[in-house]
Amino acid sequence: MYRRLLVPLDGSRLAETVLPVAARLGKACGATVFLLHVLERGAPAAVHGERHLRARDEAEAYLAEIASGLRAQGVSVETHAHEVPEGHVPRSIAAHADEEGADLIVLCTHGSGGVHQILFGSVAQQVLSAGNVPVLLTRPPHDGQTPAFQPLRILVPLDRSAFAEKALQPAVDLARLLDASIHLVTVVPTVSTTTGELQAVAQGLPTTTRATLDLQEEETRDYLEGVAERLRSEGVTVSTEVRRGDIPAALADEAAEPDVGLVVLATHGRAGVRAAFAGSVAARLLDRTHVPMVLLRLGER
Amino acid sequence: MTDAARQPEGVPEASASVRAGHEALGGHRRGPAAVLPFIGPAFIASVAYIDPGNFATNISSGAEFGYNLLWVVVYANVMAMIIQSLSAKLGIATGKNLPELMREQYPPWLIWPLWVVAEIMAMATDLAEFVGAAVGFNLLLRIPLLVGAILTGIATFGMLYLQRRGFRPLEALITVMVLVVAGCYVLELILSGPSLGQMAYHGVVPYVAPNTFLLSAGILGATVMPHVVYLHSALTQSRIRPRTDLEARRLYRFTLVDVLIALPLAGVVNGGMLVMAAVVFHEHGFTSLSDLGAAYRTLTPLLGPAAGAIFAVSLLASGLSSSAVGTMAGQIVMQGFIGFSIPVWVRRFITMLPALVVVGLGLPTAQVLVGSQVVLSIVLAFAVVPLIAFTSNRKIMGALVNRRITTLVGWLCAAVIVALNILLVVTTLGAHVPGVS
Repeated sequence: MYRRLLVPLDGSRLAETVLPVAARLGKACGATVFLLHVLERGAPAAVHGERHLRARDEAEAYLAEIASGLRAQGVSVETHAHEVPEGHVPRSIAAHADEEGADLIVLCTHGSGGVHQILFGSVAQQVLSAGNVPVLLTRPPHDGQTPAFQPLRILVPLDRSAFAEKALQPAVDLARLLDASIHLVTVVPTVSTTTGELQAVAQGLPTTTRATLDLQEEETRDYLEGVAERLRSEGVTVSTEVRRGDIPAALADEAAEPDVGLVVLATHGRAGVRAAFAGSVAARLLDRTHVPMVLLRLGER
Repeated sequence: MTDAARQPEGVPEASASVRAGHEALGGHRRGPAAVLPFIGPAFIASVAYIDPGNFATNISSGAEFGYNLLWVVVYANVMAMIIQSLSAKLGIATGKNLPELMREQYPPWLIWPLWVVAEIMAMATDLAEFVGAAVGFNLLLRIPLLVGAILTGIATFGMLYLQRRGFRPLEALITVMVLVVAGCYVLELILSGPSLGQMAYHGVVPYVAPNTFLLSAGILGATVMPHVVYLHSALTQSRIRPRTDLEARRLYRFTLVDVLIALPLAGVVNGGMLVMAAVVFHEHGFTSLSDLGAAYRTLTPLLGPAAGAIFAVSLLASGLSSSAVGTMAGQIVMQGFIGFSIPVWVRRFITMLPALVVVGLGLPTAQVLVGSQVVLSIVLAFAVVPLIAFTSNRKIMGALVNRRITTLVGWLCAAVIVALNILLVVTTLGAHVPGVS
């Protein structure tokens, strides 16, 4: 299903934690892994307390070393180092994905990036909002370990919208590719975890809102079973779960279940403050889980 | 849904109280025990019906007319119960909110003006909440009102951000602060014993004079709250409707319980404010309240020197929390009427502009707030008339269609609202109304 995987590396060991994912996917679909380093003019010598590649020859040597490691595992690899003005890294990554015809960007999000990240989101989220290529994000725990990538279950959060269902086909494709099953989850809020307009309604009509949400929980079970049946008829193993509570928190709990090794989610691709005001679930889930996530950037419906 | 055994394990809110609630509505419990599970939530919900608009209209009315307009608080409260429950019923029966149904039922040329009226409603609502919160900051921190308004602007954005991030403790704190002040007014009402007879009389027997129309309309607008009429109909989001008539009726009964407990609670607080203003201001010859900041004196009998700070905190808290609700109502109105919406922070920014202008020009806050509630009373008819029309239409409502008596009472409410506003406009223009001294 994937032909070209774009893997941006900044020279840090943290960024390299995506390599097992890229290798696994590359081998499974016979795709070429395209290693990219974007040289940032005027960039700091260290990033996240690790070295940051600043010279072109240094970068090329680094990429070649990584490439040979991947080739030894039987993966087809290409490399490229590219120079841009400071602060243009996310846009440059997205532009390369377009130019190179990449159909998936695999990258690691580091987590803490100060005020800039709060306002605009991480580099990873900015890459997502700058382009239309799906992004597989990993957020490894800060223990220096490179987690293995062997998902047995793929979590697909649904919210009964056609928009969220657009994640189903890519998820099914990945499930077949990785020999995994699909786990469909919908979170129905409780009165105290409603957001947006419904929260305003709940303020004046708490008991009715609670009863309505209970009703919604029941209907959601039927809905998920319906979707699951459709997928099962295509030969996929599917499980379903309806959870109650804060949507990103409950999804993070579900992602922490054993065997869940990947999340596939459709998103509007908002980052930073825009994501917060829009109530973006993807952005908030990203803060709460270490499970890799495939984010499919889709337009406004 | 009502079967306790079917509640999934480990669900935080499928607790004993909910099960008790289901049993009560299912008819397994009778008497006072049947209502108990709902008291807590409704108690908290009553805060949603107390906002700076209420503070301003109640206290201005008490100062100017003593106990005379207490009946307006009582009658407006009854009307609010009827109208708010009909709005929720519309949402339950159709799965659509009031603006959406208006767009569906009315010709396009009518929709745009109706939307504009609804946006005026949203602006007037927010004006009162915002100015109220600014006065709160002004009193509490002893800073100029304009600085208070700017702080309010920052605070409302902060609240919106936190809310969207799913952070809730702040709201709980705000609710507690409003409840504390609400409790103070109720306590004062009880402690001001001697006036009980007068309160009972003026709570029931109408007092009408041409110069009362303005404040009467203000109380009405502040109590029935048109934005809540639009909002309550948005109860069933994502088009999830009860599957059976039985489920629909059960949901509607929950609504009645919510509304019939929360609104009277808020009504007692509103009445308390009016009565205390009558005692503190009117009976001492201060009959005109222009600055909302002076209204803290209504709490002095109970709280002494602490009155100013506590009043300020509650004004701030109720202003901020109601402002958030108003913004959401605005989003529903826009999406429903014209089918698209702007990012919520853009709405937040636009709706705070009139308030900043009012504060910047140094207009008298209490009078501006009363004025905004009068505007609400005028636009109220544009929400209530379609609401009664829709809820009495069996094609739209199915099994939940109004009974004949409900429709009759509904139209009576609408007629009173329209008549009061016509009287207000006519007397404001200087015409003599026959039969009114």
